[in-house]
Amino acid sequence: MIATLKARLQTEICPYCFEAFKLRDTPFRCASPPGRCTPEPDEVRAKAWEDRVPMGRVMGADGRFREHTRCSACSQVTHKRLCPHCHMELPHTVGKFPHFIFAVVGAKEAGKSHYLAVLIDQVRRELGPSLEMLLEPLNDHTIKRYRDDFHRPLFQERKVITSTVSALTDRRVQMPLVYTLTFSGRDLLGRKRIRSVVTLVFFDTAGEDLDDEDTIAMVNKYIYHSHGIILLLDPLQLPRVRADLEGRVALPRVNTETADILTRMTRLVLAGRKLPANAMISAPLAVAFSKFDAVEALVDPQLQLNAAADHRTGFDVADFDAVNAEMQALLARWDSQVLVHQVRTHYRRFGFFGLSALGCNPHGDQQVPRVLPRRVEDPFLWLLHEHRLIPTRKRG
Amino acid sequence: MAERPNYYELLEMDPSLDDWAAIQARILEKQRAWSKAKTTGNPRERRTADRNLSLLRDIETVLSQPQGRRDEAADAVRRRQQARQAAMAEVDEAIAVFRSGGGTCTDAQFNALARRFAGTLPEAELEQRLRAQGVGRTFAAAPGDGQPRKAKERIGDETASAVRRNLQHLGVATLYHFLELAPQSSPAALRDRATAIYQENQRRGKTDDESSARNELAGLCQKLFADAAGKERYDNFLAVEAMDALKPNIEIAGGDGFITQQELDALVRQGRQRGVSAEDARGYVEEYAARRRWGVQRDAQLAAEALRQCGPCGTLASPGARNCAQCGRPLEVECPRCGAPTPTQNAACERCGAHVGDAPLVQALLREGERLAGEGRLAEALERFGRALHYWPGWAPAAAAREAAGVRQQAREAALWPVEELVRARRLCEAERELERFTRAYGAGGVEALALAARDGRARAQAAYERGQQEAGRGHLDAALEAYEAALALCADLEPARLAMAAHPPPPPTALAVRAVAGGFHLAWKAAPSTRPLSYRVVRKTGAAPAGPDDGDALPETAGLTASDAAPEGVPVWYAVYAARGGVLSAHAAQGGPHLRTAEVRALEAVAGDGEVVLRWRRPAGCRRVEVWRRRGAPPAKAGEGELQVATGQELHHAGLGNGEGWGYRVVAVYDDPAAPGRELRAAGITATAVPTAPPPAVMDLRCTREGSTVHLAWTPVPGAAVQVRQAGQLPAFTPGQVIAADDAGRFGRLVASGGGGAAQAALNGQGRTFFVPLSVAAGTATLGRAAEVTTLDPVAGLTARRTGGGIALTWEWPAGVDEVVVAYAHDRYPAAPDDRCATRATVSRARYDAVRGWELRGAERRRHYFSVFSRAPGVEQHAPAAHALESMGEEVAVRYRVKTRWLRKDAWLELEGAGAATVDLPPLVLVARPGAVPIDPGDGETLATLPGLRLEAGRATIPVPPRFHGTGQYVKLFFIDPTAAREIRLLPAEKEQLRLS
Repeated sequence: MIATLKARLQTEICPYCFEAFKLRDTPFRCASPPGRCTPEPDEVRAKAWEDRVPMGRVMGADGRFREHTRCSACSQVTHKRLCPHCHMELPHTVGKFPHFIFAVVGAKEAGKSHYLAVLIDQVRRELGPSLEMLLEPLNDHTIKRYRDDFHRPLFQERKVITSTVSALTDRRVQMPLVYTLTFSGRDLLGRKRIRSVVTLVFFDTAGEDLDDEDTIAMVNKYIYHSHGIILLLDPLQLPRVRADLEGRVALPRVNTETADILTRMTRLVLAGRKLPANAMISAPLAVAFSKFDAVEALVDPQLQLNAAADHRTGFDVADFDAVNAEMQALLARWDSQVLVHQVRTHYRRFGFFGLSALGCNPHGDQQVPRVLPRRVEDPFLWLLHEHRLIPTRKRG
Repeated sequence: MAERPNYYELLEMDPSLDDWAAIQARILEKQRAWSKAKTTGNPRERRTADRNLSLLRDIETVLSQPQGRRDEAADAVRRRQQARQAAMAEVDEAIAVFRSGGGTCTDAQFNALARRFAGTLPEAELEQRLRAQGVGRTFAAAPGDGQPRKAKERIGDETASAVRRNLQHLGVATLYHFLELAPQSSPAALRDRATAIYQENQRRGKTDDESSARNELAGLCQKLFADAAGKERYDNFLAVEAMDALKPNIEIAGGDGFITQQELDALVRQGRQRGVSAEDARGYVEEYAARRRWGVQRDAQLAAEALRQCGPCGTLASPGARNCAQCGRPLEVECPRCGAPTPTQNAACERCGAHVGDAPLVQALLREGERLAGEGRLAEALERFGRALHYWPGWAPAAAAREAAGVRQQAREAALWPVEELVRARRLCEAERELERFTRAYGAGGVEALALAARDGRARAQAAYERGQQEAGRGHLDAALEAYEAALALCADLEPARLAMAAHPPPPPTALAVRAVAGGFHLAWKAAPSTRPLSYRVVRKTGAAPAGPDDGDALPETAGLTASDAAPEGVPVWYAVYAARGGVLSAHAAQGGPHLRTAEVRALEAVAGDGEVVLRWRRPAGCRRVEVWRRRGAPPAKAGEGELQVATGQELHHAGLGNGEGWGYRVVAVYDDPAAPGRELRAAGITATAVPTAPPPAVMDLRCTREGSTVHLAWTPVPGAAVQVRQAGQLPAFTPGQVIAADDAGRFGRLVASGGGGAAQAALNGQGRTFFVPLSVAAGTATLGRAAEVTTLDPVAGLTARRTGGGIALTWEWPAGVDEVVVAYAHDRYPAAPDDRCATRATVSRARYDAVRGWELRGAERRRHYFSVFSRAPGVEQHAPAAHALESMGEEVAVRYRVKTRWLRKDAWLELEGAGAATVDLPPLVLVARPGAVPIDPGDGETLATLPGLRLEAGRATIPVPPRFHGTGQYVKLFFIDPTAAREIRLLPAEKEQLRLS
């Protein structure tokens, strides 16, 4: 009964193609080895992902919610649930636990890939154990992509990550990194238990895919489906900051898209969610200024922005309040008050952050001998906190 | 650059059409179609339409002219014939398959063939050609067997589509054609070429459709040829494309349901001619046959498989052939690494894996380099050889060519330098001769500008000379001389001009007067009588009078009537002054001499001793003897005053004197007068004074204390003597107690200013050792004391501590000259010294630091960490003062604050709250307010209050806000006056709205 209701009522979003579907409409794929059940071409998957490798037979949905089904050819039970739109295998948590899509958005060379690489590393190594949350990749694609595109260059080869390829030229980029975040704890009797599991979807976008509204709408549907957006901005693109730092630090090339990216993204979310022009966006928006180490000279050493955050026992709201106010004040000083105004006008929940993924300016040879992240976890934890997934830190 | 399309073909018109009005109508029609496609078509159509629209003006220009139309129509006909020839070649290939299958063709096969060549070959002609080749028409069909092979990995459809679209736009067949490199080339060579194309496009800065296509293809090449696997995927894609083109022939071969060995052989041969490997071609045909359920005759080896192939041109050759029948190139090349003979169709050597496929590129680079070297363009040649060696490292011919070119370039530079010097000296005739010799030896490359300058200058000089000749012919001597001078100014070695000038030498100057002055002689003479401007050359000779203008040392030529000369001391010299006009000197000179320049004794010092004075000096060259004139009190004013004492050596002892009685001395050097034998010349003499006295005792207890860059010096004062302290980085050898003249103290460094009373202060610059030497000075005598030494060492700068999960990372900037530091930390205070027993210590070398850009303490406890970092002097157990950093690991004291107001009482204050109920003492604070936003530093707004300190009793305290700020809506923020206090105590403001004075 509950299953039928769930199948009829619950709408899910595919974490790969970001199309909505109902659980009752999900087909299954035969999980038998090729020797037992002959693989066959999957036209839907081939069309969606250009993946023409023959794979397990697809059993269509019959309009009823099922936990599993039997292959019509080999009669084996299969639990491989597929997205009806793209035939990608859905996480086993679909329908059982909530899942959250967090989008990392930013102009070209804002440092999105570095941010994502360091954030995932930080959450897995540092924050996870202290907050009793475990971040695990959900599929082989995520393991391989994170290892090859993010972790290996930055943490093993110790060099900068090269520019992300446009999703228009490499479909692989359109496939997000999908993780499960498992929160553990103890029950009233003190026994260990898993409190909840959520699915997290991170999407690293090539900067140029955000330069054009049509492209945003075509390849970045995830933005308006997301449950939280981390908008990365490069403070070295702000004219006033550039003028103040001229001759003191190496400045990147001017990217005129930086100023427009928030406008484009907001329009996309309003249109994608079919919101009227006078509606405010409810998804929390974290406006994070990356490469903050480069503007250290312009920031008073007493500001909370310069202190190390301590989220080991929960999200430090007091620290967030101080950083949020300081960042807004800094933007006012840097003649970018309009940015704050834009965010305040369109977004119901927002926060401003300053962070540095690498903690240093890569040398001329593009080497990163040591990664010293600063406050890189703040926006992510704030999003989790906004969704009530982690507790608030109690100050003694 | 892609060839432009034929306009008849582009407009889809018959070449016989020559009516301009009809053509105009067609152009208009196509223009409409292209405009529509430009806005509504797919990307490919849009790009094509865009290109076609850009050609419109040229189309109209070409086709509006009758001759242009005729040429274009002829070109269209030629292109059609070429297409027809290509179609006929394909037909012949199909016929070869029919013949290999028994010489029969079914109706279905014939119809398929007719459809394939529709438009280029009429059906009747096709049938006729088949008959002529002995192929008849019949029927047949039968199923076969076969297992499909595993497909090789290829490039993705989207990439393939992009490649195809852009190649088609440029009118080239493959990416290898686009890169103009052989398919056997290495990925590195292909990538380099793609980069070069891209950079060339960037340099040109064009953004038209063709440049866009080239850029896109260059980018795709970078991606596809990123590695060998990527290249293989592209090659597989090309192979499948090539074999796809053979499908009609395969259909013909399998039309009867069975492919015979002969048919298979013909198909594999055709595949190989299209650049597909025999294995792939055979695999493709067999797989195709399996899909169509045809039978295939499977014999071990096909004749086509044994054929060799020419790598550069792709032509097939018999198995025993050594050279290509098409291009004549050898079918095997020697591996540049191991020397093994390798077929040119291979990309790499089978024995050692060297990229033999780059042979055409590398050999072309070598040839081009040799050509450039032959032309004398050695820098460009070296670049080509370098590139060749980049692909084939150590390849002997390129290495030898590079070495030879390098040697030649060095020789060339050496040979060119004298020519440049000649041009600079305006000796252009000689320069031209040398340049000709140079060109014969090294080629004319790179010396064009020099040759032009020489040629042009000489031509203008020649013109000036000829003008002078004309003036001379008219009897205008002055004008002629002026023209000759102009000619010589342009070309100093123009012989006719020089001879013409030599025929009219200027008269000599007169009345040379030479006067001794400080530092040498001053010469003056009377000008030679001439209406033309003259210059003068002064010649000096030692020992005798100059016999001519080249006999002696010439002083710089002058246009004036005076000169100064620092003649050598103690040697008699003679002078001669010549007049010069246009480089021609007067026949005679004004002469003077001999003259002797006297010099004083050197390094005179008067060291006073106990009842004696010792004078020391060094005799100047040519000095015959030294006279010492002495007098009590002050030195004599000139030689001849006081008592004379003649010294032949370089020292004089004046003993038997009373202590405290001063003596003055004048030491005069005496010379023989060269102008008057038997007479003497005297220098003016130099003076010294001394008071015989007992030398003061030496300072043996100089002590140094360093504070930053300041050194405090202290010693026991010496009665009756002043103590000087001198500071130096290095000291000359000396022994404490040694007595020297006070004037000689400068050798021991610069003087340290002393405040008297046995103490002084010195400033240090830079890093390293500094010596301080005390000198006790009395009556012009100094006694050296025992030196003290200080090593200066700066602390590290910009020390920061940052938490890294479970650890703490320290970063700092190294001071100059320091290669090692000691990092010490404790949990309750900053370690005071590097050997602090209560601290944990680590020694960090600069190399280790640079490797990971910092130093990390792993697994740090959750306690405060007070770090002190001490720079260590190289090779000495000495450390700089500490630099400090604190990392609280989340254990810092946090004090939260917010604004509280009582609206009715119009009262406002800041409420501070610490963690727990502990008492916290805050150091001096400042409260700042500003409208609109929270202040972000102590100077960002108006100061509301400055507090000398604040105690949080039971964790709480308040700061009243002055009444005049109540209700102003400003935002407040609290800062420490000393920002370092924030390391231990965090002032944590509430959210923005709780900081507002509402």
